[in-house]
Amino acid sequence: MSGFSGVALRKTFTRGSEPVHALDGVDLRVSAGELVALVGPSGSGKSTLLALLCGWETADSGTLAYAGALADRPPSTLGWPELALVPQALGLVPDLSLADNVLLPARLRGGLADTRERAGQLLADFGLAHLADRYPHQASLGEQQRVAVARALLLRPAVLLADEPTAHQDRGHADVLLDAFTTQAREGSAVLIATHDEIAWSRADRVLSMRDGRLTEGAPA
Amino acid sequence: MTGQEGFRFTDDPLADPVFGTPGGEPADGPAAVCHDVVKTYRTATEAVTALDGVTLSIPRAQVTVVVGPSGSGKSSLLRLLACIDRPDSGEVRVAGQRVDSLGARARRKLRQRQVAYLFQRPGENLLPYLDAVAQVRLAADLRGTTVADAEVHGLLDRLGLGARADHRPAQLSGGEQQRLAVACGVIGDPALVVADEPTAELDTAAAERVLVAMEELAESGVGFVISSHDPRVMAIADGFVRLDHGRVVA
Repeated sequence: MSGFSGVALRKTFTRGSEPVHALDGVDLRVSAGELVALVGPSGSGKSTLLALLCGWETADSGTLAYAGALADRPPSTLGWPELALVPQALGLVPDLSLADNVLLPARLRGGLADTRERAGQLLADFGLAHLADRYPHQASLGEQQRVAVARALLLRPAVLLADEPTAHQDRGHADVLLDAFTTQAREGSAVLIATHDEIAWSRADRVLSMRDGRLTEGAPA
Repeated sequence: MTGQEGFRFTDDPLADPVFGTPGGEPADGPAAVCHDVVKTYRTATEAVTALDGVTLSIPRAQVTVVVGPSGSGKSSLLRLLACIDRPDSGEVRVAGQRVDSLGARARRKLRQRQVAYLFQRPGENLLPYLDAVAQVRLAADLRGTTVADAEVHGLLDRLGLGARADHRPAQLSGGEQQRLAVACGVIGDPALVVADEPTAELDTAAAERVLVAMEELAESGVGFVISSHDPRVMAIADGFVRLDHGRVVA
């Protein structure tokens, strides 16, 4: 199974004339089977790190590697079956029903075969079964976010990255989503979630803290 | 700028041959037609008439720019043409099909097949997790067509995005993102691409490349309808619709 590791990752942006060291030498390893929480204040570099890990951005320096079946694959070439994510902006397709949004990874892969049942189960687990035929604009933000999590879980990805996946949930729904992330990790995925939710920290196998572009092991003091 | 060159108001769109074949989709008819359209929005305390008897025709293969002061009804008109809303009275046809009498589901279907809607903010038009090729391919899929890889790459090349084919939106500039949104808009041959201030967030060089792309792609037959205050947009217009207080003015 796969996990991933990064060594000495650096990424600098320019804001006006000021360089911002979003990542200032980050080392990390997340193994297959682990649920890891990534915590830190806004602007600490969490989203930049997730963007590198899923191939949306490239590091200025440092190395990023996936293990197992994904070894030697640059992250930008990894699709949903290998690497799935829950972006903060969710990215639902407005013209697809919520059920079809959950099925999107299968559709992009080129076939819905034997994913409908899993999609139906995820919708039911997340309290969305009665909304399956609605469209994103007819659902609350919390419901849309649960659809985005279900979409990420659909193909049981080897690597699952999520950016504040419980931000719009009440406690009950947040716990349901954390249960689902834990189950996916136990099935062998490497799961990394950026979160402000302290209960999520306590549910994770490990906590990594980000501050000013640097990463340390353990919850923030 | 008189703005009337190349743009014909059809005095009576019902006389247009396209209305003779209900439900038909003649490829040579106008992209969209409005006849005596009224649209009123009700709030708790008042009713605002956004469009007050609008009659116009949007030709294919041209860029039509909708101009008018804030509150003149531009956005309401765009939403009707994009099959998002229905008029209170009057007729709207897109690609020859009546929109005003359709229910939500049929309207959505017509929109998916025949209309693309571009938002002002480039990022809102794209999915963050798909590379450029996958965005265009999904857009074609949602339109109910399948396209060959060569067609997708050819379109990206034409828009100056050939070297960006495997890039995600985060790796593209605002102008590149908007050109990619235009590619997603025209793939699969819709009748109409509706764009709400598509250059408002772009610098001049980026805006010009987006506009050149629209101007060139219109030649293949799609009708572009763009609402804008931007003189750069007006410069590429084949015709204008001027709105004031919900009415078309000369």
